[in-house]
Amino acid sequence: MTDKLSVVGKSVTRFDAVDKVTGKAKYGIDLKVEGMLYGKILRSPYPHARVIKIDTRRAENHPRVRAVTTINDVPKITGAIGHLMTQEGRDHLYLHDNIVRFIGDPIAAVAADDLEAAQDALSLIHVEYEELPAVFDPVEAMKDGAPVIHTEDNNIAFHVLKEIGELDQGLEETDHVFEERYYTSKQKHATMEPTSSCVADYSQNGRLSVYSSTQRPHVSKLYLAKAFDLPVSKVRIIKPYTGGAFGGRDYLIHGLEIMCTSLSMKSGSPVKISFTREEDFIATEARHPFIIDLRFGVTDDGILKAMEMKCVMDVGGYGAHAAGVMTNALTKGVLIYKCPNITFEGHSVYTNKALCGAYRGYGNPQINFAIESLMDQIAEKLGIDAVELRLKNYRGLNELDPLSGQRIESDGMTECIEKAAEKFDWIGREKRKVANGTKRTGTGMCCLIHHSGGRFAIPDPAAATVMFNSDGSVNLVTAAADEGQGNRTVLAQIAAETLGLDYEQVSISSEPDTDMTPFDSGTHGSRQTYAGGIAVKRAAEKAKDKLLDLAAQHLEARKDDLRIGDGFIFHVDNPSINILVSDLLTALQFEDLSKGIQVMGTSTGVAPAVPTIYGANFAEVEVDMATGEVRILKFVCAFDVGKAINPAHVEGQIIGGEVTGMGYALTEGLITKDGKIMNPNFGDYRMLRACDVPKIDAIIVESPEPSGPFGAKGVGEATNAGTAAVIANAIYDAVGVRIEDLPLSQEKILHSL
Amino acid sequence: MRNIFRPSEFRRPKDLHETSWILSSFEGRARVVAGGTELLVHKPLDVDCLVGLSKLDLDYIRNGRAGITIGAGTTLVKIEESEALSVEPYRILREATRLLATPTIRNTATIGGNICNASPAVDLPPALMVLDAKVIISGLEGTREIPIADFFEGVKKTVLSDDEFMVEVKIPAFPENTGASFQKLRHHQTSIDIAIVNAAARLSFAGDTVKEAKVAMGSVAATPIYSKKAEEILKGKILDVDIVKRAAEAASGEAKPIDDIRASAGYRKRMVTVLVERALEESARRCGK
Repeated sequence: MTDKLSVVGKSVTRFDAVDKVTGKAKYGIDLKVEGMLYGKILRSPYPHARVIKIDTRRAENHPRVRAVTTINDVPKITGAIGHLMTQEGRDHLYLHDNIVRFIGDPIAAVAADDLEAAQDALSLIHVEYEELPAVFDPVEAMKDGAPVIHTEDNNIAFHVLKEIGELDQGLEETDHVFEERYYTSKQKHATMEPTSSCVADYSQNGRLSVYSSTQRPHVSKLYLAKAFDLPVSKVRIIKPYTGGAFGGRDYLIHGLEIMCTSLSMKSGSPVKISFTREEDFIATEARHPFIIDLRFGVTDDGILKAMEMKCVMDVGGYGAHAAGVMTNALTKGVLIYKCPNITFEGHSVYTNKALCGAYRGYGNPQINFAIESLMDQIAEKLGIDAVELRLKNYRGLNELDPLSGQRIESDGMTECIEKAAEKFDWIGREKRKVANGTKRTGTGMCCLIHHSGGRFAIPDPAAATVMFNSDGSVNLVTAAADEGQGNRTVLAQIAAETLGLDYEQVSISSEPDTDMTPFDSGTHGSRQTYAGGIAVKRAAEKAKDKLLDLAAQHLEARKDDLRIGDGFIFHVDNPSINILVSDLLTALQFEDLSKGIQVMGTSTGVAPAVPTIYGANFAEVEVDMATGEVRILKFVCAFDVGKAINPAHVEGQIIGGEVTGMGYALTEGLITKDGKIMNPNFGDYRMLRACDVPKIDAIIVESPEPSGPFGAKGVGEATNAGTAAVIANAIYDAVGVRIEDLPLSQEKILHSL
Repeated sequence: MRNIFRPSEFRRPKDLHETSWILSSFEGRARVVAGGTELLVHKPLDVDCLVGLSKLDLDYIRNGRAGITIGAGTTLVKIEESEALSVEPYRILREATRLLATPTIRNTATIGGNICNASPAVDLPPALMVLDAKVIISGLEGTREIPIADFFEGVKKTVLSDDEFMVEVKIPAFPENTGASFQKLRHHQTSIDIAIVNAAARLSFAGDTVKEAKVAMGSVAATPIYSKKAEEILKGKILDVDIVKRAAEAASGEAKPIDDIRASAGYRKRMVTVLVERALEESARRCGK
């Protein structure tokens, strides 16, 4: 790594930039396939009901309707495919029986010649329901006698208890015990392109092709093969450009691909289903709301001796990520501070509310909000500077991760905190405080960790193939799904750097197709730059090694003496011994009739670790004491990403993540009344828009990860984990009230003043 | 009844009478469309005919001795940029417009649409109410003129009958020493949001004494409303902090907000006090008091 880098570390323009900004790029919602029908889904108006009878005859007789399918016709998936399961070994439940469990749960779908006819036909389907008692509050749902939502005898989808050290002893040894309860909200991804569009095509050669904006093409392929009892080889997922995912397109979308495929099988035509924005809001996954009880024991000088964390998580009607999100809250909660005595208990609970699932941060924004709010309280009570308290306690370099048993190999936390504090002028914060009329300003900080990939929790393979063309250019083949963050550009940079090529000489297809790419577990958990990058680097090294082997034979030189540069392979001591790479490749592939070799390298496997990403946030806010309104005046954050392969992309990730974090802190959240989502539109679901957001200073810290490609780790999921806490802490500093209930609405603030 | 928005006709009448005739012939199933920013988003199912008014030349702002007239088809962007509306007290229309929706919507939405939509949270009517605006309505039997406050009958309900539509907004001239203010409360940090509460005020002074006071507020009842009690408290007084506060509290007392997903009734009532107070202070400041 002492070599000078020429492609890595440069903000090269992403390969798809021109097509995207000129509108040429085709997203899922733009898809059109020859002979395609349009599908619409009929959804449950009840939060909990048994479907007694579905009469589809009138819809089938509609002159423009080509197929109708119902939950009685589609396959029921109850098995798990290779990732965390619920307690009882069940996996995501897609349309698994005749019970509907939330308002919006799919019941039937129609495919018609046009969208209007499909919409029309939905009103012709008659469904007979038997309403069942519903439960909406996770705490109520845990009680004996609560309506049972799934088949087991209670509503606990997942339970975990992790004990490290002796909590009681730790609490006894401390000088102070702090206790608090926190509530978090149900935030929606609200991607620019509504979450769900897919075209399923079972019309040709007995193969199922699904065009779907999934984060995990290969995993979707496994699910669909299993659901429809097809050989895995007969299912093909093609991923178009995606207008944002943030976890919302992890695995299959509830009802979408399954219904769409069933309609294609019945009609013999390709079928497209696109959810409307309202459907996106009511019937696709959102961030799990948590209730978090914390009890921390601290010594007089601010050393954490005991941490107790109890979480109840509302998973909605189905158990998507019931285990994953809770486990991730656990790892972040347990690993952020090097406390010797920690107990974490989590219950993931079914309710008759809309789906919850993966959303950027994946349990971390919830637990971090609680922990970092309480840490702020501790700092104030003990009279210790908030920055100092974090620096004293965080789990850093060479500390053992008690969960995976791995040692921490890279640690940029101190640098993150110090650089951001300096840029923010943390020292001068008291002098800046302003009280003007009804306005008060205040400052706050928090820190956070996240991890790169899921190596120790889920099967997490990555794969790549690097193929040299005869002119010396390279094609990179990988199933890494790019949802807009630019990871395929980053992977091409890693390949180019490894091979000593210019970025322009490496080409990558716009989006993956499972027929053409080896298995990759998908884009999630901030893993593509790290885990995907390792696969690409290994594949490129193999291809390079092979090329040098062949060059050594050709030049009759020792391989170790050969170097690649400026399009040549040359002898390091005697550069006159050389050959143009393109000449060599052409000879190997075409001119030497006895060879016919394409030089290429493939790598499959897993990343060796799950490196810690560190981050720190600093915010200054102004609160209007008359209205409770908050305005963020200044925001500085720093993230340790190991190595920024493409600094502009990293900055984009940080700013984008922080903006969603600001919404999470202040304005966002689905409002549910008796199971019905009351704000399924952008008028009532308030995201912060570009014009609402203050300048965000994003500082990139590079503490190289030895196992990462060129030292890189992940970044995306870390970026919104601490935003709610930092804003809550700044509000407290400004007006002396602490709201433990997200979002920190102006009404709650005013009420507490 | 069908379950999708699918009007079968689009008409563009050439004069007022034809417009009313078309509207009445559909017996409530025809809808005037101007900017379309409400209608085409909400897509009501009970519409058979859309009636476009672009041939009626209702897109104008005229400044005369008797005051200002604004055609119902005038786009919000035109109001926002109008020279005639840049002076006291009319400028609150520009200010209220600028706080409304997005530039894209303001480029196409019209003042007539904003009023006729009759949303309780609408922004322009409270501003127009304190400016004593009247609306001109055209129907089969000719035109009629009513104060804008009387135009609204309830949530999404107006006095318009099947054959009627709005053609103009009329605002009178005001004496010197008149100042006005429009205040809108949104959710924090958001620059594009429907009002949690809005309030407008106008004060006309004779010397240091308040000669006339108008206070209106939105999002606190089924329709935008005046606060008569605030007006009574202010009239004939020399303003001080105490009177302003009393007036604001009186306005809050008259507000009858509801709990909804945007805010609670209690919060809205408290915010009326804050906004009316700010509106009165700014109105006074704007005529040098």
